[in-house]
Amino acid sequence: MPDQTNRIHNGVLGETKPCQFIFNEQRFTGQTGDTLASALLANGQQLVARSFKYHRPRGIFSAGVEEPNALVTLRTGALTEPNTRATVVEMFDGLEAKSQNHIGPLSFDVMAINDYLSPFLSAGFYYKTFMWPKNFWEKLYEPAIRRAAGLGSLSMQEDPDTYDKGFLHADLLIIGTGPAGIAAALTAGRAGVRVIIADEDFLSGGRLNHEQLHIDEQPASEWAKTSMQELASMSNVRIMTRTTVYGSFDHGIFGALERATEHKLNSAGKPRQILWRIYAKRSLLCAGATERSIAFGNNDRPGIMLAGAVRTYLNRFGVSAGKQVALFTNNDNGWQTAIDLQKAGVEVSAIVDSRDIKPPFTLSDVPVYMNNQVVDTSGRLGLQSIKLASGETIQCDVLGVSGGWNPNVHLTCHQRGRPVWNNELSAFVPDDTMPASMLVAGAANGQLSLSEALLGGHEKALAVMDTLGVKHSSAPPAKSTTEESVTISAFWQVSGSSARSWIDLQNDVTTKDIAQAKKEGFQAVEHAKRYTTLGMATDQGKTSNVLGLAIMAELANQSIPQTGTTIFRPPYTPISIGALAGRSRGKHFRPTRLTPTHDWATKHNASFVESGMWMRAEWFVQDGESGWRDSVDREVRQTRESVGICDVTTLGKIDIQGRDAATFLDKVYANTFATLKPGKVRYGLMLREDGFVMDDGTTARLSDTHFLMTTTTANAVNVFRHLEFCRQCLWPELDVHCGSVTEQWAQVAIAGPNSRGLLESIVDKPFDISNESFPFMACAELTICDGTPARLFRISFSGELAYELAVPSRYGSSLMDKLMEAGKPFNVAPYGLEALGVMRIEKGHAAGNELNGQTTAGNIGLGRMVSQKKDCIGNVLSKRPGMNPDDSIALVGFMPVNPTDTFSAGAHFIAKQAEPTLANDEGWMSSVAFSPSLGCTIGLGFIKRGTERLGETVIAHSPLLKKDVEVNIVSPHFVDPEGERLRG
Amino acid sequence: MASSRSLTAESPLSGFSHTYAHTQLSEISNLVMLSVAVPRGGLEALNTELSAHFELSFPATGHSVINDKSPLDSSLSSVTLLGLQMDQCLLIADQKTNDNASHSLVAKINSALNTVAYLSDQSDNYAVLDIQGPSMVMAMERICSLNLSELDTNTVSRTLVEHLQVIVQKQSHDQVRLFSPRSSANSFLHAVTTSLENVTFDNAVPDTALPTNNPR
Repeated sequence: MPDQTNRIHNGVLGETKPCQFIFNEQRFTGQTGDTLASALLANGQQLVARSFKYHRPRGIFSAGVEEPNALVTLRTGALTEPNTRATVVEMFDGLEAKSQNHIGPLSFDVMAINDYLSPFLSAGFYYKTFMWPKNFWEKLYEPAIRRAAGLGSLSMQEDPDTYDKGFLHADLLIIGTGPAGIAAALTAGRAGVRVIIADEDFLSGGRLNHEQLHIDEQPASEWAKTSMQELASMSNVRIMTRTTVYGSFDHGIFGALERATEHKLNSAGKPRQILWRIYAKRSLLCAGATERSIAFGNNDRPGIMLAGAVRTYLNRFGVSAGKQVALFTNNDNGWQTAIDLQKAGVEVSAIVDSRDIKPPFTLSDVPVYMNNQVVDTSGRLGLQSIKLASGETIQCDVLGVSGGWNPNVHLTCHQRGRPVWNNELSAFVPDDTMPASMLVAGAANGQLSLSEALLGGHEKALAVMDTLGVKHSSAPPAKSTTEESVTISAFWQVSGSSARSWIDLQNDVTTKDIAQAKKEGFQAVEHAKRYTTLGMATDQGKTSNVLGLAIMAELANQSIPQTGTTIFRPPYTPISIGALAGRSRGKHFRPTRLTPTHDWATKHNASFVESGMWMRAEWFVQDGESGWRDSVDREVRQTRESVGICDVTTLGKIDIQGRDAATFLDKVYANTFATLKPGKVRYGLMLREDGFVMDDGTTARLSDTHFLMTTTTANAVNVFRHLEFCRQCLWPELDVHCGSVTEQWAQVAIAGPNSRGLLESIVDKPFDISNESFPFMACAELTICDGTPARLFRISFSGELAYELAVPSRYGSSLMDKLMEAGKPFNVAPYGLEALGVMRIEKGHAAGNELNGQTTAGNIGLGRMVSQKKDCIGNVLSKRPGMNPDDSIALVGFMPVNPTDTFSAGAHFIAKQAEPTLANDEGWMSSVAFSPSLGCTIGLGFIKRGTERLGETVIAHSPLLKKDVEVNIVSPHFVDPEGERLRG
Repeated sequence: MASSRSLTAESPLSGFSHTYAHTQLSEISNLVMLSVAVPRGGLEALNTELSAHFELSFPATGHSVINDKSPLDSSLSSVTLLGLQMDQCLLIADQKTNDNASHSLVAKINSALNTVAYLSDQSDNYAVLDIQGPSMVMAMERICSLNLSELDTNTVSRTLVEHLQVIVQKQSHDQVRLFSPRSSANSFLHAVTTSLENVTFDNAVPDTALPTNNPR
């Protein structure tokens, strides 16, 4: 078949290059500047898809994002993208596309049998059919419906493209580069306003490229081109083509999706799409209007298109949609298609106008049928003829339908605005409920003629500039030099049609479905929408919503305003999940935090675990170790028998200074800190306002006015935020300042009976770390390794003689090297998070599992720490009777009766012989580990009156693991209960 | 002189440096940084000492002040104060050489100001990147919600960049200095390099130029 038989001229495309593309494995030729749709039409390809439910043959219906039919799968392999509108796909050499939703070839779809089953598949059929037998639903009906439903298929391969996001700022965001948008941009841009002007199309100009209009005596498309060139030369104007402003959000923020590389064969490593957040002081919606159809019998055949689209393909792309074109219209604008076609030498086989008026235009050799309607059509795979109410049958291969124009008001509704009905236009237009700081101009505002649009854009730009306080000149706007008529008489459906009449082409919703919904009681527009799925497809009902509302109104014998509208919600057009994800994929889903010794740990065979955003060494694997238990048990033994070192940098470190720092700490901690002397450390318990434990840690006093607080890793940010709130809002009169120094210091725990011996070799003289000079809970600022400033804290989480040594983070890895070197005579072992956890459980120290936000100081055995001599956050509410029942839970230890038994955290405690029910639940196991020190599994947990029940046996019941284990209640301090090792 | 016992310093990004189509991205690792908090009622006294030692005064929030005439110590090329909040600023001393053993300088600044301010060494808290060149604004647009092209020179702001806290200091129309927590330095670098790669048409950073534990 010869190439591009329907290409009459080059339209407004100017110089073009040929592009080879493939559709359904057949090669075609298009040209640069085409869309896939225009190229298919140029090659006479009308049939492009099968409809969603009935699998009816479908063709290209429109020329823009409103397209309901021509959804194709673009590209191949991992780049496959289903459900792409052929009308917006920019042509490039090598493009591959295929049609969707058919089994077998497009021209013979096996699933077309659905069309014959249509009486059983009407609106809401899944609520009425497939009900029996009941158990067939899950096994047969639902899977079958799911398989049949949907359009297109994913590649199921990872998307190789990348996506990006960004932030832009403007004084004025203009949405649309049609006549109103360009006029506004010129006015504002020339006055120095910072303008962003965006358009979803790749060619700026909007309808100026689709019509044969004139501005200032030149073709409108030329005026658009030169105006855009002028705008491009302005440093204060940013032009964004291929960019859909998809949503209007609070505070003048707009979401916009830029299709950066989709017009290329490959992205060459650049992001395919960019999701922009645009902060605009003012916005001007110039999004134009979308044509709507008329409902009549079999109005969905390939070749039946919107009249404006036929014009667009002719004027912009130089393509005649067919050889014999008929028109069906209720307004003057529909006639323009006939005029343009005739000028281009295309046969116009008829104009059918529903209005009972004289023909608004005179066209020679064109049969005109006024006060008439199309009642049916024929031609399954492509239109062949139309039948009129008056009985005539007219041969045609294209029928252009114009039912009027709907201003694109969507963005005015995204913050729950509701448009108002305009009887003269038979359309909804924006009203006052639109977002603050947004104005509307041009066809989007119901100003459907070119002259109104140009003037409207200009005047609205001036209004914006007045609100911004920007001076402007009195230069007049450009003028339309073409007459246009937009007169319309509302006409929605042909009642004489016996065949089904489509309203929503994408979801296969007909007038019968609307009538059925009303009959079944779904009369409210929101109900009717959802029951019929009218407007719920990916086109969001751009060509069907108003038509559907009007038909609902007619059926209900009420007006359209009385019927109401549903709410437009963002996005205006579909957005890929990839664009929403942006860079948040794979390893970079969220930032990763590495400790200063990470490199060192990697070299020493650490296995890492995610701990929030941190990567922490969980254990270090040595030769001969076959599993994690080998490593962890060894680390615990080596530490308890000699010495181990562990990076504890991740714990929050907060620098607190000021004359009132001690007073401040007394208010935020349950226990007293004002009495802590410089050079000492104290364990601190922090309560929430409601009296529950929030966090714990140690706080060191470095001087009279200087403290260093530590927090748990998980609560580092929360506690800092809490302290700042307290400082700024609760006690602003105090002289106290906080600063996070978590990152500043690399901190290493050195634990074990030989920890002092190890440290002595690196601490600079004359600093004395003997037990007498540096006892348990001492702290000091000193130097190590010949002059490196450091801080030393004698504190222990493991229960052994232990210290924590902090150096500036730049020395983290080097410090580990020095400690290992100094520790060689002591068989030092690096240990990780697991061994740290085992040792603290053996010692009975509470950690995150116990401080879970639902336990009190009393529950964890620290009730007496809550000072009664001073007030603090949480003090009052911690005394509520409900917080302190007689049978309160208490933290205790658990050991298996049978030493070889194991149990898990999460087990609940039930008395022996009692039924495992909620009523008999006495508490739960919070932490469990295998104890190398005791040679069995041990646990910490909460049980009612725990401290009074030491020695008792209960059942640790795990219903999920189907395991019951007899356990003895013991002291939580399994190792060194008297604390002799700590203080040695 | 470093002894065999001395510890060896590492910068967070191992001295990263790369040019993207005339825009330079470099790690800055020769800075001494201290947070300076104003005691209640002590602003005047602090300003007296700031003026005496650095010829600067406490900056307003969102602004920075700089003395580039080697104040306090001849080893310094400049001292900058970043106004981060009403009662706290970040003092940045730019050393002429990359001396990782900067504790003596910290001690010097401490002794100059510790009677009139609460000081905390923050020299290791941050990874610092400079971006300079024609693509700086475009690259930052991809990750930073600040309106950088409209901000005045010497403006400073705390913001979020790809879920990371970042302090942004605008140094000129095409130069910005970024400070982000050290522990997430690699993620921070990745965010910035990705932006520059996405907006320029230059070769991507070769893997050998990246820190060894870079997640990429």
